[in-house]
Amino acid sequence: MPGQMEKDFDLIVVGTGFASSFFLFSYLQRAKAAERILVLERGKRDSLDWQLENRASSSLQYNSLFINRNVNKGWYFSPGYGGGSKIWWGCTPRNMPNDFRLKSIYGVGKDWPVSYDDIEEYYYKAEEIMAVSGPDNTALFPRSRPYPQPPHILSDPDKILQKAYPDRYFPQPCARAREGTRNRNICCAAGVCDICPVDAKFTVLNELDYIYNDPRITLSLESEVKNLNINGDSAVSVEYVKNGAREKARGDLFVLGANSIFNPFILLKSGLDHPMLGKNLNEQISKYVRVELNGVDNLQGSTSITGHGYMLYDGAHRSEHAACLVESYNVPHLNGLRAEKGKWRQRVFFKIIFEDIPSPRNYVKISDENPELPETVYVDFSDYTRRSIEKLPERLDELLKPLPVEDIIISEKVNFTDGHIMGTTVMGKDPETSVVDKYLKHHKIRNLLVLGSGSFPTCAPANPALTLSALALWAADHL
Amino acid sequence: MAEKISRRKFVIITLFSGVSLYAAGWWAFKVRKGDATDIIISIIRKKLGYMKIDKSQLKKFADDFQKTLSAKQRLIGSWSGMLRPLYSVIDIYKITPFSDKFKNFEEYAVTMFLLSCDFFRNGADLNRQVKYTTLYDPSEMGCENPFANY
Ligand SMILES: Cc1cc2nc3c(=O)[nH]c(=O)nc-3n(C[C@H](O)[C@H](O)[C@H](O)COP(=O)(O)OP(=O)(O)OC[C@H]3O[C@@H](n4cnc5c(N)ncnc54)[C@H](O)[C@@H]3O)c2cc1C
Ligand code: SF4
Repeated sequence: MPGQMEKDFDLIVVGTGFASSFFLFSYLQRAKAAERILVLERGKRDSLDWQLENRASSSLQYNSLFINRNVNKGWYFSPGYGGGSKIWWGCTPRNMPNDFRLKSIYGVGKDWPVSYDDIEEYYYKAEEIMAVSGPDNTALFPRSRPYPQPPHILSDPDKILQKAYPDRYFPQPCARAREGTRNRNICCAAGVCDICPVDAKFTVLNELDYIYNDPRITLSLESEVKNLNINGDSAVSVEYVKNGAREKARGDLFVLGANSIFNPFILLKSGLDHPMLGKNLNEQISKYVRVELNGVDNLQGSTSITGHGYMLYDGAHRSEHAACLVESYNVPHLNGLRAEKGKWRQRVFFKIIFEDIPSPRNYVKISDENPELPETVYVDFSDYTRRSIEKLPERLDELLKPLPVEDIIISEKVNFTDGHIMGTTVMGKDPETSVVDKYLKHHKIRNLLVLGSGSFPTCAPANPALTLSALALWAADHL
Repeated sequence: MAEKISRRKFVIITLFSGVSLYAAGWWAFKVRKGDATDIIISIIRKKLGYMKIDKSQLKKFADDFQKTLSAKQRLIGSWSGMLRPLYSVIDIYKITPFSDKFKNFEEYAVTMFLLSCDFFRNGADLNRQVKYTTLYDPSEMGCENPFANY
């Protein structure tokens, strides 16, 4: 290609979100002093000040970067330096042990090729990097060490539920600081976590920025990766566009951390077709529930999402219908205040998050209309999830009995998106039915790692960022 | 018979003209300017009628609050203001197709007013005159959640 520059690197990483940054965190600890690492990031470094001033987490319009014709189903993410860490809400539950063995325990979905015990140590490392605050009682997901930060303060309705369900309702584990860190302030329940005005939630910009100043790393911003060049069973170089010019860099090891829409797209553009590549696009399905109370005030907590309920999560029902996780909000402008005299705060606002069984009918492909863009195709979520949603009213009536309930209002529609894109580069033992192995190495191209929640074989109700970050640390440890 | 019809017609035409004239005037003075303050003020008056709220403070809140609304919300809000004399006595919007949307808007306006005034800061004392301080905007203000303990 005329005008193309070629450079040589030991490692080439795509993206600067959770997956890439956690991988680099671990990789750098063992890399030689003379190592040469190139990080290619399509977006700019939009500082927190810039984000607050512009009320946007990114100077790139996320929905201009892919095609989605489905008006009922969105996919939300924040491109640019720091990726989704700029816009996430910092909810960091671990998956439960049974989430990794859904098929063998409940006969649905698939088992993961890794177990909870395999990655427990990496969960802890990821929680340490994010300075996660969490409960003392964690019998549901056994821990080798306590959470790095103490739990957040619950609101009064949460306390009632905790008393009724002591093992299954507790403060949400989260990366919204309960105690200030060197780089972050204490969370004060402002409730605008998309862009935290007090810099309390973990972001790559506040806690991991230093990585990108490492002399071994060359960070190239505004560099959009187009494809990898493959020779036999190896990736040899990456092609990207910077300042309008197409460039090429050669490397020994390649790591994709571009998220579950762009990772499969880059692989497809590199000619690495596989029956499962791009397939199983999924995320959790969620609904909002408003509960009017009689005589109990809400909103006393210390962060935006205070309570975490596992009452409808794991159990025999999972062989028939989906697990779900309950989050209680502690945000006055989202919960809404009541107008009736004295009842202003007598309302709880829950989000109920259902797991889904991924299906190949939902997928990412190269757009026919514009082959420079990925296109998402989403037909529907599973009947497994639908059955659980249908049971919600009756289950909530039972579940919320400990609260003085006046009325329960469940949102009619499921939410448009939760921003948790998963499942398009699935991991597994069998190269015929999965794209990467348990260390996230491409089954065929052994010097290529594909990180992120695209690797998740099933879709637990738990938010994905902690698990995908733990898996990035695990992958770096098993090169 | 013919006389009866023409009288009815006359009444209908008069009513129709009156309403059209009122609507045209409303459009010229309110809708065209995207002025939704009348309905915002009416909502707060109706829903929080048990509070002591100063008229000028309420007007100031409505002015600030409407600036945060989308063009569509302002359009609906400014037209809704036309029915406010009825709204203050009955839930007129319940019979319209946008009943749910209006209910949400009512709730949002009430929430924003309660968070933007000094009511909670002063211990939710209903005997005190409520003062609008500044429009609640946690993105701008940071740690101003009046209920949080941290
Ligand atoms: C509003 C919102 C709230 C959320 N809250 C939570 C939460 O509370 N808890 C949770 O667990 N998860 C949450 N998530 C999801 C979470 O943000 C994602 O799961 C996570 O960011 C995925 O990490 P990643 O590193 O795989 O991808 P990303 O964070 O999306 O990073 C991908 C990176 O790759 C770059 N990139 C993409 N394509 C290219 C290319 N072609 N060339 C070069 N660079 C490229 C991007 O610019 C970006 O930097 C939330 C998401 C949203 C939208
Ligand atoms: S609740 Fe407020 S302070 Fe805490 S992380 Fe969210 S925006 Fe930041």
